[in-house]
Amino acid sequence: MSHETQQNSTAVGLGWAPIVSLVGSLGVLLVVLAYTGARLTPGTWWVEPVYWAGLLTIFTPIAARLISTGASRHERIWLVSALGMGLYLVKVLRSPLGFEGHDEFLHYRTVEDILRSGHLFAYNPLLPVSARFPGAEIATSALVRVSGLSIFQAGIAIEAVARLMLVLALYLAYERVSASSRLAGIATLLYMSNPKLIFFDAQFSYESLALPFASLALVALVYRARARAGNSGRFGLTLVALLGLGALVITHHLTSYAFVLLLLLWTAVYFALSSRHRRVVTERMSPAGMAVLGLALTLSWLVYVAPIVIEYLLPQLQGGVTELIGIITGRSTGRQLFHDYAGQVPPIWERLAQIAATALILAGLPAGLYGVWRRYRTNVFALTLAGVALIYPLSLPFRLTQAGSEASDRAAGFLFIGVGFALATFMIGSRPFSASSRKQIALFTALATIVFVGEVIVGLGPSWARLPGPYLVSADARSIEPEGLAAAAWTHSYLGPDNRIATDRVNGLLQGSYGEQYPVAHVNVGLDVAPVFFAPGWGPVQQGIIRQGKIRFLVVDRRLSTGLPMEGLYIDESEPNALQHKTPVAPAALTKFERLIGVNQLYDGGDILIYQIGASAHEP
Amino acid sequence: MSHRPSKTIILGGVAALVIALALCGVLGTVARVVIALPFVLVAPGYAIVAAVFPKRGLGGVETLLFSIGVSVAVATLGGLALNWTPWGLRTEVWVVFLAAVALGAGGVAIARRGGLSTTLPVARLPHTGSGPILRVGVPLLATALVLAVATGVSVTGAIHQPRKGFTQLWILPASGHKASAVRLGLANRESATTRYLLRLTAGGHTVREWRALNLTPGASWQATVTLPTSLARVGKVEAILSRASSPCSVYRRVWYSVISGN
Repeated sequence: MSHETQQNSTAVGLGWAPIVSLVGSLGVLLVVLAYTGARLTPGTWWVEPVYWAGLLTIFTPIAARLISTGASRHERIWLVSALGMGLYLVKVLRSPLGFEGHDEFLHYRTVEDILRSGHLFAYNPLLPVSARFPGAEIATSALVRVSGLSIFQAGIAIEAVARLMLVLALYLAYERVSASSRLAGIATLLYMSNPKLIFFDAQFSYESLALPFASLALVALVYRARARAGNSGRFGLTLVALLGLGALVITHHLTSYAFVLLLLLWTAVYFALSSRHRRVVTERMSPAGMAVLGLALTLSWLVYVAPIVIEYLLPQLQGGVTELIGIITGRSTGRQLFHDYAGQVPPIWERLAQIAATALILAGLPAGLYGVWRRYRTNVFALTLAGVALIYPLSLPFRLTQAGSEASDRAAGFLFIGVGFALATFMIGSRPFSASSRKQIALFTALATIVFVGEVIVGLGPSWARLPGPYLVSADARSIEPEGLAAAAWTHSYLGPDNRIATDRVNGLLQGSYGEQYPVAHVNVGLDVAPVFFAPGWGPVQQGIIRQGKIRFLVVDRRLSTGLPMEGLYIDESEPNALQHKTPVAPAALTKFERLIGVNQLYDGGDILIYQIGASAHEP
Repeated sequence: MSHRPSKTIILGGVAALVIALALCGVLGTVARVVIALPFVLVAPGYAIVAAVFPKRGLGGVETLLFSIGVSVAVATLGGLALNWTPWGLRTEVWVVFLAAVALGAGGVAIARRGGLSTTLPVARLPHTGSGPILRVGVPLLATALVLAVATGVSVTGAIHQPRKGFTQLWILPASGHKASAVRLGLANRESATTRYLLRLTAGGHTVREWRALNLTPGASWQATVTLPTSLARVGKVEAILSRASSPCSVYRRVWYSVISGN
């Protein structure tokens, strides 16, 4: 088994990597300065330019060096690792004191349950399906137990390791497939331009560890497929692939299903190619066995441990497809592009960047796919990656839908594995470019940067979501405030855990995680609690919700009446006018509880009040 | 790929030390973290890689990737298995399990390589050309410094972000009291020391007053108040909080319906 390939036999050592890393670190510092400016002097004009200057300082020099021909293999590996970790720090240093991402609280709860009980599969009211895929939480709880770190600190460490795994695995897989460290570096660079990398796949959640597990198994299989028969390393590679696959199956549903589909595609390509080019196919064995095993494991886990996945995923998939069909047939208008849920519109340059990024990818893909066909016609996995890239354009129409836009963005985290390879093949393969002209390197660096910027905007959303700052209504990270944290700590200390409460989206995250309460909602008991908070009066409907949900406490955040929900939801997707609110909740709706008979106002924190309530509560 | 002597022995020794110290709770916080991170995230995978791959079978980058990847995968799958044991996922169980994996795989690695003189493959930094200190060391040191500064600025900014101050007031039934009693609590989360006036009433009658509750930022106050028997059957017990700066203005208000004998 070979272990070092060098693009340029005269290029050795780390080359410019240390200097470029230093420049990248200055980019991280600039981003942090922007964060600090956003916190201390919100609305200041220089914050956004400094933020983007920081991101470009991290990305562009590394991109230029990776696209150039002079870097050695070691330098390229160093640079992709530096970029991956630099972008990870962009996320971590945005919220250095504690979790702030929506999904992070969901998985925090599962870790807490594991630490409290010493066992798995305790019911998680915030996201019931996540407790059935506890891989990330198991690893985190192990680190918490052995090191004494907090859940937050251990989660950061686990995700840092996961990021490094992902970057190295993809690089090595690309390199083994293409026999080119330059192509591998560029493909990995372009993969890291996918809209989910900077935040969504960096947050403490199950998908953030599942992708690295999938990549680990993938690179082991790619290496194994090219190992000679009788090579004793094959056993080790098979073991690594098995461990990666096994860990993946218990970590995240969609990633494991996508990985199995990838293995099946790879197998199909292998047999199709073998039947035509028996002697020249690059791979010596197919992943058929692993594909069958993966299918068996995922189905077994689905049937015996996590059948809840079906009711969790199906509505999301159906909703996007139904809406898209509605748009095509004219029955639906779809999502208003470039508008957030509060009706804000990003500046014109951001809209152009998003369009340009998508246009560049779509323009480069045909040439890239043709390049893959020309250069790697007998290379099974290369063709498989091309097949993955082909799916990318099919995912884009879902961005026009309300229900499917998030799924389309998330799919990019998988599809860019193929897109990055195809576009890198295009960059390497164009004859004038490979002559290493400085102008062309600069041109492609600029184009890669445009793709990066556009996709970052797609993934991170509007600037209020990218940057920290003052409280915003129902804005996930921008709504995590000392008042909510203190209220959650209070319920945990004084009411004890596992009380059924009703509350809004953000306080539900805090109460369900730090407070260890049971926020009754559509996701757990199938109950829409919005009428409790939206209606100006109290009547049979509200009493029925309290009774049906066995709700004992209400956590009421009066700030909900001060603005529209930035994420489109005050409570959850079952609420009236979800994602389409035009007016805030009426203040009277949130103050009505004070006059009800049979209600105790146990806690007054100013904006947040906590009521003890029973089904018999009524108007005087 | 170069070999260094006794890597597995060192690995085994560290693992044994971690078990002993962790079980005794002797390790200080920082030392515990410094040892625990590679113990959980590197050692098991590194030992397994050594056990299952041939000598010189992997490059340095592959060794690194598989070491950390397999470590995390082993922890994940191991936790699933431990869940079904009577001991569950407790600290001692994790330490013993991970150490057993590292030591067991390390032992296999030694056995396959035929004795103590053989070693694990070790990744070696590539030749960096002339002036390694200037070309590599200085920029790396500077990078670490810059990132440390960035982290410090980030944390400082987050801590000092202007936030709206607030005061918490709460009331709860006092458990364990035969007579009707309530627990009152107050916490100052404002940015300055605040003087509060607190009045407790039952059925409209004042039960108790506190005219000068001075709390510094972050401080809290609690009291348990037994209601007079004559008022113990009255429905609503209410606590009204004002600030000394605005004594007539209700700042916070909580109430609780007391049922006689509860």
